[in-house]
Amino acid sequence: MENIERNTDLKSSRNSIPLLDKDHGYYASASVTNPVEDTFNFFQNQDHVRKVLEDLPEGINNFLELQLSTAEAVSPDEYRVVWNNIQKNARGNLNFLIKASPIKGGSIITIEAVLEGIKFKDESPSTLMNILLKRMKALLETGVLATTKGQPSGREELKLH
Amino acid sequence: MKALCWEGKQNVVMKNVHDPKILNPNDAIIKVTSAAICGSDLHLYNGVIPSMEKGDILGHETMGIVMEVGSLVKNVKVGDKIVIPFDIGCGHCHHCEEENFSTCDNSNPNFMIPEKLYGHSGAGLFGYSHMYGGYAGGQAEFIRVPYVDTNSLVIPEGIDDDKVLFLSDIFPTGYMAAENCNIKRGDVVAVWGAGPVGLMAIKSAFMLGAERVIAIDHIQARLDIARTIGAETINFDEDDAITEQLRFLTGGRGPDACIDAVGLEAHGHTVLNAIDTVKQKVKLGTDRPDALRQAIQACKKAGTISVPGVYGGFLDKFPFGAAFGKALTFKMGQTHTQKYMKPLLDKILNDEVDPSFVISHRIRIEDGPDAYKQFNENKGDYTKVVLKFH
Repeated sequence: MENIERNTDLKSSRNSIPLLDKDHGYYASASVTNPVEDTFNFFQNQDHVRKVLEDLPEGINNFLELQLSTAEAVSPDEYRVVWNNIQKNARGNLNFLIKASPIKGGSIITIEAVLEGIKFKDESPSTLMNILLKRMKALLETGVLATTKGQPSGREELKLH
Repeated sequence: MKALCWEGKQNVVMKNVHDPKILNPNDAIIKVTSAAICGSDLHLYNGVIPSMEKGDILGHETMGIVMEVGSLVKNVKVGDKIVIPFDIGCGHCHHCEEENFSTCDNSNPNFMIPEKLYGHSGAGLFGYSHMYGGYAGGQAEFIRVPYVDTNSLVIPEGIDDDKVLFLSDIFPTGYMAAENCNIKRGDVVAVWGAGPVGLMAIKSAFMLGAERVIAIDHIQARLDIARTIGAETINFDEDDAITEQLRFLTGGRGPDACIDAVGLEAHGHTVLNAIDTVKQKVKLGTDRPDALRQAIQACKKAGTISVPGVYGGFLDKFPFGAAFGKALTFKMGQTHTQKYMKPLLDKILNDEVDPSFVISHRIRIEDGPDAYKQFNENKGDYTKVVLKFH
């Protein structure tokens, strides 16, 4: 019920600027080049979400352990995916609203993400939302997450014998 | 493998480090055959670009032979010789689809840093600080290239590296700088900085139809090279009234377009530049933008300022009132290298241009640390240094 109410808020926010309200939720948005149906399918896939969570900076990922709650078409151009956070100390919901907005010659696919009901002591939720959504977008658009982990550097100089 | 590593301000060391490996299925591993030291590497060398870490492998002008490809790679195969653009595009985001590769959404794993500083993040860059992704660079025996289908240009067999290496950066950078000037027949273009990018901008401005190009520098040897490719020259060590000289040379009008190929470490004799220099040294300022100030002052009314020179932070005493009052157009930014590589390769193969004229030194990687020092201190003799491998 809580999620549906929030979704109403999201829909109504299309004609107004959503405010970052710590009592209400934390917003982030991104646009992608993939079709809306592919984007909807991607955002409800456990493997994709897990891969992104594993890639989040240490400390942030400790706050999230997600379980799919809702994946539905709100309208032909709008889809909703809700993940419940089942992490003991930081329960709440992560909502994605995927929308195809018509533009001249096509449509633009946007994702609005709202994190609600989760309190953090030290981490910035808006930072978390931004990082998480950008990583999801990157994985969706390119199939990989940009990384340099494991590349060589002079910090690990080899000793030649 | 051997690699040139940044160990602090004015301290580059050759080290033996691990070979790179495939980290993502759209990566490739390249055995480097040639790599250059760029003028913008000297910004790193001099410690004016933030977020470098000791041990970072330098280099963003690189080419070589494909040794290994990931499972998703389609456009290159083992054995291909490729040139690698300095900026890393994912090939799939909105900006890459619009061929604005240097503003790629997805290739910078550290996008949070420039987002905080600039509002948005640009693409990841090879060997150019952690703000730009922290990717290991190509002044090494091997390099990993992410999204290699987008970030490679396959070179036909039998072409000398020296002719095509600069498709990785300075030729497209100079070309885009000139293209950004929207040059029309009869135009006069002024270029601040006759280093490698400036020379490529001069060459490109003529290719795009400029009637006259005027090069401004204080290193006579570089101005001499500019003359050999058709530019008129101003040495500001001899006369620093640059705006007046340019006005005189253009019938009082000023150049139609001005290219700042200098960036954040400008030299000069003005009071403002002296202040910039002191502020930069004591970390009270980030950039020394005197070339850009001069370009704004000198440019024709309703003219264009094109900025391929690198800037990193905040510009003090920036004459925006003059820019507004003269209705100037500004175009700038990191080069969308991938967009220009193929058409410029065609110009090279058609013998319309040979960018190798900028090369002054060909060295082994073991001589890299000394080459950085010499390039930084002796720009007259050291125009362009190319590391030769394998």
